[in-house]
Amino acid sequence: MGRLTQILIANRGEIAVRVIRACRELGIPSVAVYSDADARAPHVLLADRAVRIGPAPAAASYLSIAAILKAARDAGADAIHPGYGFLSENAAFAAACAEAGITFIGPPAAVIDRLGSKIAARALAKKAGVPVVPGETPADQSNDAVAASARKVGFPILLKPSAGGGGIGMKTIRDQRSLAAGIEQARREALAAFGDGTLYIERLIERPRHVEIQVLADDHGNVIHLFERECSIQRRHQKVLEETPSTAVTPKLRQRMGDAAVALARAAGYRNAGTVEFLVEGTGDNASFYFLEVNTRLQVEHPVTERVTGVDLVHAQIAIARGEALPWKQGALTQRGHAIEVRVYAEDPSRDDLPQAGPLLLYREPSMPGVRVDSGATEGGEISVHYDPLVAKLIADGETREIARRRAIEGLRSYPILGIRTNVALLIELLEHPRFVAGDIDTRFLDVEGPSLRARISNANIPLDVKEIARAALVDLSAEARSAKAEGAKADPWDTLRGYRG
Amino acid sequence: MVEPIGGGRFRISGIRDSGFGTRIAYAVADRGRAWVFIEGHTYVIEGDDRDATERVHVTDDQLALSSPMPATMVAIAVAPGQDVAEGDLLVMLEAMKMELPIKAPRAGRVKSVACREGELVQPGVPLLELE
Repeated sequence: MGRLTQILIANRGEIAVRVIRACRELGIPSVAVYSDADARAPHVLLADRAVRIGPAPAAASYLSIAAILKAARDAGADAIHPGYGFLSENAAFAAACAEAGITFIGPPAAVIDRLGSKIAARALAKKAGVPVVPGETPADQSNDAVAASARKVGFPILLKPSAGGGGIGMKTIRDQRSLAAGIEQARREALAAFGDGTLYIERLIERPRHVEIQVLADDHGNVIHLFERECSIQRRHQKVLEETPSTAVTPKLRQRMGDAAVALARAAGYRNAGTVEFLVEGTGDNASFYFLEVNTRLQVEHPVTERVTGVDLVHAQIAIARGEALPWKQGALTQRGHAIEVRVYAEDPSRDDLPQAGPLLLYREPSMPGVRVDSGATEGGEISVHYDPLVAKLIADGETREIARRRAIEGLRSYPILGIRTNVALLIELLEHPRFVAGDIDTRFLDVEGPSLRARISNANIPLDVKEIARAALVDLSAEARSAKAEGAKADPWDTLRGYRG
Repeated sequence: MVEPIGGGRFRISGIRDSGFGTRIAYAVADRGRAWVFIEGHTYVIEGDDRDATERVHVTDDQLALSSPMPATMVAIAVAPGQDVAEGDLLVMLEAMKMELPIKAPRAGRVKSVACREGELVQPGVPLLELE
């Protein structure tokens, strides 16, 4: 097993900074990689060494297996942490690392491969006794056989074109009465759209929540879970806010979901940190949950788990990769308090969340009780058009959900980011929404409530005379610039510095 | 009252119509435009006092039918000769790992499509023409 004498971080932005910090804490030298767009990015400045891997487009740099392996060899790194996104769930990359004698800090390539296939993962879940969304493609596609299959799956159902995707031609059927007509209509639409009338029948999950379980597995047969993360606040399959515990999950449900996640990880031969995603229907002890997929990497939202369990997940990943046994027993782990993460994106809420690229003219992270900011941004830096628009994650925690919520709001109110548009004001509105306050959320929350949240921002009463501040800023800053210029012309300040001993 | 206290910070007090006492605002000037941050809200004020936070209604087809930023063309939803209604999806772009739908700014007929799937498109270059 690799000793991990030097770790290369095959990523950028906040997650690269996060992992490099962990390396520094553990006394392991770190190697950053960067594209031409990131030569002076925070992750490059923080690492012990930095290697250029290519031009700005990710395909030629952060997604280039050859460039990253070459950087690892040149720097003498014997391990690679992939972060999330980019190559983190790429089985070929994990295999290439193994081939090169480099420890990939994550599961083995074969496990990534198997869990990356929706069909194979679903089959594995079924075999491990983990519930999946009931559904089938009847071999006999006659209307009568499809109807029989629908009754077997149970109402309400979703009829989907087997050949389709992207929600095209899907039909919701709530009861037996509308079934026959529904099948005929779905068949016509499937034929028109895909030239194939084969139908797939799936149970419709009403008002589902997206709840995931964090797991850790070592080389010694130990598999544990670190409870749930509630991730229902999302739009266009991108999460915006995550929290733990989930307001839908009771101790009994938590145990059932945790056991299911552990069983699946065992069945998959899982290693390192991973996340099992579920859809949850209903709340309370009798809620149902259904397997969605496994994310074979560290998640963006991992900090909320860290805040309530006290476990540092990146430290744990490194320890597992070193071949160490997990030091925690399942029964000794607890969730203490509550944590909420909000993702600060460079985007314009008034223009359909259009991502924004541009300079961070002024950027000050809040520092206050119960607030952690994970970022790869810095004042004077920029949000590049080449990568995703995540500026930072603000994680608030407290003894109760209400305290964590209020701290998140206070953190955002003290987080000036100027030079690009961000979703900070929208996040505050979200945190103050009565349904969010009550914990009454599901995956359609932002689709349903987003327009009213946006309306509140654009109609927000400007409680102060902003123009007066702007005028003062323009005057003050141009005066500052003028006097700096005048002084600069007179003398270089370094020439006039005198020694000072405090 | 607005009093600069250095480092882009301004102490504001005695604000009209507000229940607030003293607050710290942050502001920075850039190319004749001021960005102001107060209590979680950000405002962009143009130097000539035109409030840029007011939504800009794009009427110019050229602007509406081009990408707002460098992006990859993911899918073209229409073909030349096709009639579209205002708000119909025309093409789907992807930039910064986000989907960017380009929708019809008005009803009309698609005259021509000047892009291919998979192509990298530049801002300001019209992707198709409406007649």
